[in-house]
Amino acid sequence: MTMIERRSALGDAAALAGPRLQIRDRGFAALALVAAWPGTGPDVAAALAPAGLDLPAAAGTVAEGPGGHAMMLAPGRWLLELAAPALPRLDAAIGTVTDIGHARCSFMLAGEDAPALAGKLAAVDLSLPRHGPGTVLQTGSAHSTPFTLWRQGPDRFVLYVERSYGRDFLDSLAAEAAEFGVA
Amino acid sequence: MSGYRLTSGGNVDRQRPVRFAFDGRPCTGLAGDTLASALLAEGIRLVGRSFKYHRPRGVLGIAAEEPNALVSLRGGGRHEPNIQATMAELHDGLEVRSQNAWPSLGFDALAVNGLAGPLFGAGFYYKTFMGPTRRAWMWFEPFIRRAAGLGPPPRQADPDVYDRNNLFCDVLVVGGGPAGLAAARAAAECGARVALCDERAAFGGSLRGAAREIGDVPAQDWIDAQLAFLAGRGAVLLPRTGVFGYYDGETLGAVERVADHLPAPSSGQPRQRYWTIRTAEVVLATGAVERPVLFAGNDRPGVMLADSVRQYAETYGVACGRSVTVLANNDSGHAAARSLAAAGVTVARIFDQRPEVGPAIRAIAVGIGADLRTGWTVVATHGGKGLHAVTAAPADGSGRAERFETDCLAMAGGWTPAIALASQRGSAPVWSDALGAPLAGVPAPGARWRVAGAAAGRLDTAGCLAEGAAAGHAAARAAGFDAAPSAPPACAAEPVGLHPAPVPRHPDGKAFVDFQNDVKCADVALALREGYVSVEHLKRYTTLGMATDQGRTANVNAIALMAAATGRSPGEVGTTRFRAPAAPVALGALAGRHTGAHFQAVRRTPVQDWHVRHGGVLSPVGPWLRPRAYLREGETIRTAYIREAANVRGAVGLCDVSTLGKIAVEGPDAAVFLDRVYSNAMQSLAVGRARYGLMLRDDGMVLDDGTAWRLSETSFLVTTTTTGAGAVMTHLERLHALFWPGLRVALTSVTSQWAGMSLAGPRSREVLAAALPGTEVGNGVLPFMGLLEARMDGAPVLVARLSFSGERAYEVFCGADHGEAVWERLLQAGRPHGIMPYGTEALGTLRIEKGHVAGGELDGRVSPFNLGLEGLLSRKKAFFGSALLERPGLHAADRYELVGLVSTAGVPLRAGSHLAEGPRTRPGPSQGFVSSTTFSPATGQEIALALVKGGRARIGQDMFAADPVHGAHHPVRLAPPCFVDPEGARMRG
Repeated sequence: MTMIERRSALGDAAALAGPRLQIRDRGFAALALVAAWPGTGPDVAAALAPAGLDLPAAAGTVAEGPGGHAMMLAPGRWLLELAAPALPRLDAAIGTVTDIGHARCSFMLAGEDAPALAGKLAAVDLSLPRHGPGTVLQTGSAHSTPFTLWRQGPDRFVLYVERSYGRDFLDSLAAEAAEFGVA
Repeated sequence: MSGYRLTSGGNVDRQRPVRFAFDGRPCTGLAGDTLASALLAEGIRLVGRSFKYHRPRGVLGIAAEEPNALVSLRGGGRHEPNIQATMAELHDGLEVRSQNAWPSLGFDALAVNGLAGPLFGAGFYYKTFMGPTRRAWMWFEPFIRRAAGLGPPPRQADPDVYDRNNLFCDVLVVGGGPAGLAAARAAAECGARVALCDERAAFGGSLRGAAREIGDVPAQDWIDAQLAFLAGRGAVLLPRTGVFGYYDGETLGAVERVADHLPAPSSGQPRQRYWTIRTAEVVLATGAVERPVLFAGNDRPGVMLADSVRQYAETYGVACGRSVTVLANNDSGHAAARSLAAAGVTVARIFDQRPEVGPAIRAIAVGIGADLRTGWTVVATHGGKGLHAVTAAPADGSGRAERFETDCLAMAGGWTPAIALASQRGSAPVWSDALGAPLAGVPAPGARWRVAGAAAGRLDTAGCLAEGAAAGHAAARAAGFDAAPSAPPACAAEPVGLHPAPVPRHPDGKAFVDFQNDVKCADVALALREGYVSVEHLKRYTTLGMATDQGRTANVNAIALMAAATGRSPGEVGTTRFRAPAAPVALGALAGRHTGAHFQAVRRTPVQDWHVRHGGVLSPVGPWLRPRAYLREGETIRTAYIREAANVRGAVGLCDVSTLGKIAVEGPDAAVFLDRVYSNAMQSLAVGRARYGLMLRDDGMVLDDGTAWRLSETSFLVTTTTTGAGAVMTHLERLHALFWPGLRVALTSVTSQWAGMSLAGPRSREVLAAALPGTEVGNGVLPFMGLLEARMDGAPVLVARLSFSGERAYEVFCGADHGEAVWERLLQAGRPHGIMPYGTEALGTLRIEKGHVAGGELDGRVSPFNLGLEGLLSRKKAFFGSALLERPGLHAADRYELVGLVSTAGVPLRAGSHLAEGPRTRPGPSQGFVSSTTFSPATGQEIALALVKGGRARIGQDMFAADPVHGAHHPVRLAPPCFVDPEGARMRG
């Protein structure tokens, strides 16, 4: 029996580079959305802690644990990027974990020009502290494509885009990045 | 002076000549020139022909107010018409063409229009709509179209790219003249993030090249020092950037001319960039525009605005004439004369319309050796394609007119603050009698702008600097920055005495008030005689104030004329409302990267590449591209879908349905939630089963149809139509957030998570079994509407036995990254059974044959009662939309009802056709409409679905499908909507 392989939405053309900018498909082990019910946020955090996941309590922030990164998108909603393929489970009485590991592509934008490129994509004031390193936000691009933006560092951004938009988004990224010498 | 280039002065590089061509004639300018300054330096005064009368026209102004010097630049795909020569920067190799003249600028055959001037008064073409016959316009139209218009559009694709970007700041300063620079500096000193825009290539405004000192340094040095300071504080400096729109929430639109001044953009560089600027506070330091004076022949080449003549001398080192005459109604004309003389330009005389001027003003004329005549005005100009003399006379008619030789008449008719952006943001202009022009008024509630400098009516440099600094400080403080800025620099006082714009007598002869639209003073009077007494009607009737210059030099003079003619004050006449864009904006800049392949975002299914490799003809369905059919050699779409649909009925087919909307509904209250949003019961759905359901709007109309799969006690997968996915997700989120926030349910879009494929046909079970060896898929394990979780070569799959086609069918879902491989496995397993892929055309054919509703029927105007789906309306529970389902109209006996149609003549029917009882000549009222059509391989007929009044009771009746737009009137017979297996044995077995 030949095991069915996973095929990336982006095909082979998933890395672009310029003098001060790198764009690449970064992949991930597993991705999930966690929802808590009103008042059960602490219970969810406690339930996921054994899996090495530290859930932040402030919307728009990111926390790192041995099990992966947890990004609080909204009250009671987190995006988990896990260090291993297995998903944690939650008792339905306190919340849910929904697998979206096939539903997203993930891009890395890095380099001195990365903030300028990110600023073209998202109508967000990236100079504000609430959009600094260690923050996350959900937004949309001028290309009418929604994405999640995780700022890992001053010049380092991770984008999560719906898989079905992935290839088109990469093409538009390349076009937007052309002025930074990206080929 | 060499030619018209002064031997010294100007911010041009005399060591760097720049070669360009004007109408094929080689010309030379200097680096730093605009096209206008270079043409003037070459002695080229005739640069265009007027819009209607094709009168010779030359440069009037210095910047965006220019109404006459419109040219076409570049060739091929980069060709751009209607560019103001005053805003175009010179570069080597620039090709410039004049416009609106044939066969040449010098000899324009259409100048005969001027002889027929009385026939071409304002609004003449409206009158061709009315007579002398009803077809009069049809006769006039080709001539008017040919004669009118400005430059020709490009005929080739634009090779350049355009960009869009976002800019955030605390204080945006619009205008980089003295007030703007002072405002930007003050705000930056307070610690605010500052952005400074100016539409011209360099900052400084009227100070550029000016022979004066600011704070003990030459003006240009002061400008450079401010820019260096701002750059050091991280301010964003955007020259060549025109702010064209000011919108709610302090959002402004601006276009930066990134590479228009270059022969071509460099690799990857955009030609223009559209900035969306979001700021906390705005300082409008947009300056003021000088007004022309109204007299006969005021449009002749060589007649210019006085301060523009000054700037050509000081900024570009160009003399606009060898013997300049100044015509003024205020002190600034005298200041311009003094500056011209200091720059080396001969000013022969100054006519001042005021009866008296003060001694300081008199001293200017004496000092420069100019003949000063107060109480005089110009009444006529002379010279065919260039001014060579004027006739002047006492303004009160008390003396004889005299003729004066001159090749440049510099008009100083007063100043009009540039208030367009404030007006766009909602403020009502307020007339200033002192200025003879409207001021910006007060900000509308919520608007956060302040105006400074000439835009606020301050015409002296010291006042502009002080006001600008104060405005910048106020803006920074309002944005939350409280530091105190330094004091603005001092500078020498200037004469700024104003005379309110004299109420102009209606001048004799052709006195133009709007140069660009060829609107004369007489046209304003004509409009008033014909009853257009509102300033808004005046604009539309005469076109005054329209087109590229937006009436910058015309509007106020027109208001004054209207006021005088109607016995009102100018304030009572008012101004038209300014609307964005304040200046022309290239469509390319608005589009940005949204062109060609990037016109809109495209979504791809996990199997997309396979479709393309195997002949799938892709067609947009919402943002997706779906294969309509897989063409074999010699096939058309029609023959392909007939083959594919027949194969599904006879063997087995595979269709990519990954585009279906999919929503994970999870939580302890998920079943309760779905029970409320679906019309039929969902709480009773067992785990491992699926159910078809309807979602209604609050008015009882169908929002969407789909299925709900119960994966566990607390977990459902909901599917929607492809194009309804977004609306349904929004609907569910809204219901949860606003109506039922206490329900413990999470809603997650998983459309992209799952690849989905429909395996349909009498042999589908065999194929599924072959693809899932070791997994029982028989009817006992996987009955109709059952669910099964399995693994296909290690990949988890979820199988639902659902049928859209009416055949035995299975929807196989897997993780999207596994999608193409699972698709290939199913095709491999199906090969012995005659499997074929099928596209959306065959998918549509199959569901129409089965009478299953889809987009053609679910158009937002139908209730379950129209579709025969009353059985899906639970009587045991309330659900969203149930209350308004009781409206009597939805139950009316003659309501639209879903029926089938057979084209009895065997002719394909067209969706949208009306159903009529009568023949082509007397069809009678519409009885309904055709919603979906196809050729039916199963029955060998052209069939359709339709919504017909009282349709179910009329089954068997003969009617006509009437399509008068296409000249069709085809006989049809009403039939039950299900043409294949009405008992459902094929899909349930």
